[in-house]
Amino acid sequence: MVWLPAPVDRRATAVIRYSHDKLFRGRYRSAPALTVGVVWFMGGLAVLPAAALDLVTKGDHPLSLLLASAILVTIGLPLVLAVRLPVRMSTQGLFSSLVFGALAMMTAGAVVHLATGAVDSVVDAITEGAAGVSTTAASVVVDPSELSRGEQLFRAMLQWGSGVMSLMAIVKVFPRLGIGGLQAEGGVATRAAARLSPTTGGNVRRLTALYVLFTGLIATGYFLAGMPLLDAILQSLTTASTGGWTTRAGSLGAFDSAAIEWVAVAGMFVAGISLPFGFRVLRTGRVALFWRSYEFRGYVTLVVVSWWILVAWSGDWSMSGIRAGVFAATSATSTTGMFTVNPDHFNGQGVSLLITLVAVGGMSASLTGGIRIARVLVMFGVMQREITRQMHEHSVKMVRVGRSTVGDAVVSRMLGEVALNALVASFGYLALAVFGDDVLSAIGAAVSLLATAGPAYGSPDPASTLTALEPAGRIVAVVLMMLGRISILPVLGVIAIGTKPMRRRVRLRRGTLVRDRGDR
Amino acid sequence: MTATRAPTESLLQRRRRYPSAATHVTGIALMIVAVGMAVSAVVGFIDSGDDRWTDVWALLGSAAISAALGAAMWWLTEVPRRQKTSVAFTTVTWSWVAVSVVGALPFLFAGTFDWARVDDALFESISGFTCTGSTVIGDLSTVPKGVRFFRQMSQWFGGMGLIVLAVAILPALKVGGLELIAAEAPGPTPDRLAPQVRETAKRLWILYGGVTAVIAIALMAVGGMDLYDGIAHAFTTASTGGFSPYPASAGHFQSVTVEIVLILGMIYCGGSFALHWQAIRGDWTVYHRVSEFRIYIAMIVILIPVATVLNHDLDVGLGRRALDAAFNIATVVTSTGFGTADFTLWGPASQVLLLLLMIPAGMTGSTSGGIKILRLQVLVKYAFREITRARHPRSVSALTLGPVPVREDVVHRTMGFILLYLGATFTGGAIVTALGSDPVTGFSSAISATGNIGPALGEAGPASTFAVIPRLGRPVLMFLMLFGRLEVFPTIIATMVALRPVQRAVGVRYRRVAIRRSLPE
Amino acid sequence: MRIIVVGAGEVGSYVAHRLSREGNDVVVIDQSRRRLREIDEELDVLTVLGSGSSPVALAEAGLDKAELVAALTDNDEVNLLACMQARRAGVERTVARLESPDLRGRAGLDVRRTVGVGMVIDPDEEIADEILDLIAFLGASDVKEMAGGEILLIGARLGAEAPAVGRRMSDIGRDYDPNWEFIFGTVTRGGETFIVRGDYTLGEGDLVRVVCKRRGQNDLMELLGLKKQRVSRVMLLGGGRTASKVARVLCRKGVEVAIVERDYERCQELSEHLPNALVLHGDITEVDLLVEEEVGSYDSVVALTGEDDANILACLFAKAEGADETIAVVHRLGLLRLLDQIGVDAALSPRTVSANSVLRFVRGDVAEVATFLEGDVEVIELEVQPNTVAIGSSIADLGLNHEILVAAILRDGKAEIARGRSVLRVRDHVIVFASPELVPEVHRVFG
Repeated sequence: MVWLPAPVDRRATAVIRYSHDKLFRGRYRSAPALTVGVVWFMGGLAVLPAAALDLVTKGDHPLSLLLASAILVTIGLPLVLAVRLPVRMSTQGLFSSLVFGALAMMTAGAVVHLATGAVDSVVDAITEGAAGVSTTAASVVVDPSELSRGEQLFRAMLQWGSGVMSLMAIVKVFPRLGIGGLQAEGGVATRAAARLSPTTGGNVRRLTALYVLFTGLIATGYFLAGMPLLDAILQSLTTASTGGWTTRAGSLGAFDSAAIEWVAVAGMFVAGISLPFGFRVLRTGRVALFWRSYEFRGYVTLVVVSWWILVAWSGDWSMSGIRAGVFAATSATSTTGMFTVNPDHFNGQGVSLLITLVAVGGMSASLTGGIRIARVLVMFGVMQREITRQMHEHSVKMVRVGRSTVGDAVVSRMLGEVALNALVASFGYLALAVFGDDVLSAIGAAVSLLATAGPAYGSPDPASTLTALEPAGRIVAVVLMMLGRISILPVLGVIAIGTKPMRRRVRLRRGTLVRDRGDR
Repeated sequence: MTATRAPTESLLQRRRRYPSAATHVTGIALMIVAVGMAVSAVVGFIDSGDDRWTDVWALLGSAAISAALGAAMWWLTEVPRRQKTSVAFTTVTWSWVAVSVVGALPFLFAGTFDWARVDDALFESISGFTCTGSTVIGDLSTVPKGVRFFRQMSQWFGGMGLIVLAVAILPALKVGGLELIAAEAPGPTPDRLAPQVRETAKRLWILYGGVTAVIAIALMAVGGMDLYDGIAHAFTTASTGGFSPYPASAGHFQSVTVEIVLILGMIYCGGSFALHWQAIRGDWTVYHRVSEFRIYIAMIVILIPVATVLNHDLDVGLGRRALDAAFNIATVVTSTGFGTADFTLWGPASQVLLLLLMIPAGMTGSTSGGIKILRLQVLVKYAFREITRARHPRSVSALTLGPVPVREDVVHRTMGFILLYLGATFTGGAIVTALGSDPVTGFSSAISATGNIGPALGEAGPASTFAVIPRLGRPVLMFLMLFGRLEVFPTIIATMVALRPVQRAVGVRYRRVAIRRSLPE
Repeated sequence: MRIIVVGAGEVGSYVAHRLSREGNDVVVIDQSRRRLREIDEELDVLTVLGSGSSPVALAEAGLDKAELVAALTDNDEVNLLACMQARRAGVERTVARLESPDLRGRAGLDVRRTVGVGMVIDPDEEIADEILDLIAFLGASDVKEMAGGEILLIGARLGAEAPAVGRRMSDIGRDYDPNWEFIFGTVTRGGETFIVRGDYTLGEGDLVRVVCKRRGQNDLMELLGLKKQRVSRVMLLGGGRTASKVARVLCRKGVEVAIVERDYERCQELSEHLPNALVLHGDITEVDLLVEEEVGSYDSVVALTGEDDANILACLFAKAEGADETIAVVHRLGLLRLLDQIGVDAALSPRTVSANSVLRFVRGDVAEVATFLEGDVEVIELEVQPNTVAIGSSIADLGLNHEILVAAILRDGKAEIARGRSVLRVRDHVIVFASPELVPEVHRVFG
């Protein structure tokens, strides 16, 4: 089967055009503004249960939370009322909606954190908001258990909500980009992310239902494993979204329970699987589909092999040693970023393996960060093809992942995206090295942030990714996390739109230069 | 063929020659190396003190073996008239390997390594002929002077080989670079594969030799070195190799002028020789026209102050700091690998900066290693084009370097090159790390080996040797050095060609029996 | 018997030719006036101008009187429509040429049943099978499986070094007595084909056709001077449907396959469907490409583009470069005579290959029919019917025409080479060499 390049799919436009017109009847037409309005408004509403929880549990901040809710609703509502979707949704409109939606979510998180006084400065609040939206486990808050229950709930909901946003992006935006969203005819390298329903709305509904179900299962698991009910719910929200924030200092290790850790391992492992793929398996009941997916096989092989290697390298074959290795590898691959043991448990080799796993990430169209297995497989395919081409000048060969082939346009898109990520990561290493104190932890932290995992692999204190940084360094971290979550192409696309006039001027100047040269 | 031969031809020409380009060319290379060994023996005879005779005999013995082998290979074979492109790749790979094996002999004969450490001798030799400059010799002063001179010379020969590689082989790869540069710099260019290969190589060799001479003279006249040191350092500067006959490398001289001469020399040799040739012919604007050169210079000029500032908390004066920054950036960007200050003592940011610089290294068409700036340009443009494509799904835009569009298949090959380069480096680094190095040392030594830089970070810094790498990890680095030096594809293809019989033998066999039909139901 | 052949293309006209020679009333329908005129001049058939899907044209061809309709255009839909109308008009037997694998396969079973297609042929598929057989026997010019694979029919031209050259048939027979594993059927020499008899002496350049038991193939190949060696690398020149079918089978067996194709997009398709094949973009007559890819290092080179001259040239070049075996697909039968003179090892034509299937179907009770590009002889496998003269009689006693040879007898799934003393029983399968004119005679004797 051929995977056509994604841009061919134009149906998405038509679907988006109609589905929301019934709901939003504002005067002005702007997709990004509407997204921002909806995010803020919904964010405001989402704070209400947190406030209620604080009231019930007699937490410290019911009023501050209510205030934050009021602020967000007040800003969001007018936008929701005044704006409707444009008649035709352009690709650029989709980009901007995604980028500004994520930014709005980040600011909403920042507002709540500021209102309750969980952090002291604006930079910290934004950092915390970014960590939430990007589902990164890093945090400025040193001990989350000191936060009130309501705040904890809001934080968990922030990460979970970001998961929903990612689902929307997977269904609506990424197919346009050809970078691993749900495709009419593929576009990611594997069939793991083919569309489930002819309409985008149907796809969102199905995936969200699966997401909710999955979260519920994890919560039940945690509860049965002996976690207090409220913690189980909060923890399931951040596990399902591969967020990784916890309610205690010392991450999940603080619960000190083998059963809980195994539940988390299972949850994180499943979270790394492509959602539409999981949905299809559940719906058809054909477990054999799992083995037919090349990407899934790659994922399982990667995870299992790294379990073994990690445990072998740590040299600790006791039950707790195995658990520590398995947990760390799964947490890294799914870019959740929870941890149970101090990284000292693993030697340098183990740490570099963890960094590699974080960089690779889970399957395409899952909620994890990183390069994704499918793209790594495509890269292997490209290498293979170029070797063949070099040996046989005239040979024609398609890039292949398992049984499916990948079109050149998609290959270009994937390679381009990986290259951009690599460039950003390089600047990340450099910037974090300026603020850090050794090479390995700078690289570990930059990779971890860009892949939205969180812990600073290679540094003695994994929770210190953000706290160890100066404010300027935190801004760098915010940029890395947001780029990692939104994915780089939309962001650069929006920047490209924003800087168009400027670049046009530069180009004009250059143009005259070229003409001069021609005359000479 | 025999039928067309004229009866007047000499007996010599009528002998049976086996058609094998790889063996023939390797023979020539071995004989050239033998000459180098003989010259080094003379140097050893004149310059060595007490161990004069070990030195001379070690070198003469190796020279004899090398010459005999080379002559036999050359004598018994001929270059077949028609050949596949892959033969060229096999040829370069095996000649480099053969020369490196022979080049390990003087170290063994002179007792630098005993025979149980034959792998270390090979490491030293490969590091020489690939112009890398990593060493496993702890104390160079115990090595006789003649052998040390040969060690310097091995890098210079490596550089000569590289020019042949760049002119004759890489254009067939379509990612080699000379053709891209040539495209950007109109005019009489040395990019034609045939029939000008010989002529082009000759010109570039003249330039290479001239540059070596100029550097040697400058080092002696300005830097105050003696003849031996001047030539020895000129050899490894021109070839961007970075060996020095002294344990403290260029730091041995404690001389600002020496360092400045070396910095300038390195920067010049990290630039494309094709460009330099054109400039010498009078077309100075070529430096301005070619974007790769502009980026190359800009990178150095911008990063020297950056590194100086990043090193602000070091306990040395501003002038020294700037000079150290300049020296180390030049040595890394050009993939030379001389050492003055130990950059593993610098702050993490400067170290990360140097590590990142090791990946692109110098210009195409130079003797430097790494991915090369030109390919990085292609990569960046490729990535940014995807932004445009994402926004305008139907846009069609050719990738251009300067005013010249790059063919799409060349772009793809370049991407394949970069992926393979980085993939191999990563794998090598992972193996070295898994064998017991710490991650920074392991991965940086792999990056340094593939980029033919020389020193790495962590424990394998300029003040240390690669003896800290686990013994099993060093063969991996040797492979990476060859892999990076020969521009990725030749090594892979040579390996695949060599493994083909095995692969065929192992592969599923299909016997000549009738095939049972599957009739449609 | 009245037979309607729809489509006067390469396959259709050859089938019409064969059928009319056997004394059938053949009507050919085609849309091309030019092609019909050519057929009119050459063959003794009726031609009707029109589309095979048109009821008017079919009626004009006498659909109601026809006993068989063979729809052989290169358009699946037209073929299906023709078959449907034939079945509606009460024609019992229908043949359709279908190229789409979906229609041919299990998924199309329902459609075929509804439409009433009696038999499906696909020339590309058949020729692919034939090529695979030829690849499997290096040096053979024809290979055909009969009797469900128990019996092989092998054709080969004797080279100077073949041990059989210069020996009399009866001597060879004595060497292998009493258990014959093979029997020589026909020899073609100087353009003339005849059944071999005991006093014939084999000479260099003879094209022999031998029926052999599967067990006896090694002895036979040795005798014929055929090399038996493994094929590990095959180059296919031309990347059409046939090529991709051949390549798929070979790849599955682990053979290294290279395909050269001129059309870039077709190259991409091929590379998509054949992950293990090396797909090369270029013209098959481009010498540089063939040299660069070392065409001489391949065990078999098969040229199967639609252009005869390109196929032949490429094969010649491959042979000159040192390829072990070259096979060319040729469409113009006139060129055949040239081929073995200039060194192409085997040639085959889509028309004969698919004609065999149609002929088998037309004769109904015949299990297999083999016809050859060169030599006017057929090999027929058929069942001995009750109430025929053959029952209970030994072959020698049948008093068959000298131009008919009974080669093998298949009884209860076991094959035996026929001897003069062999006695036939009901339900035996016999494999018979005969010229087309004598086919009715064969039917008279065996049923």
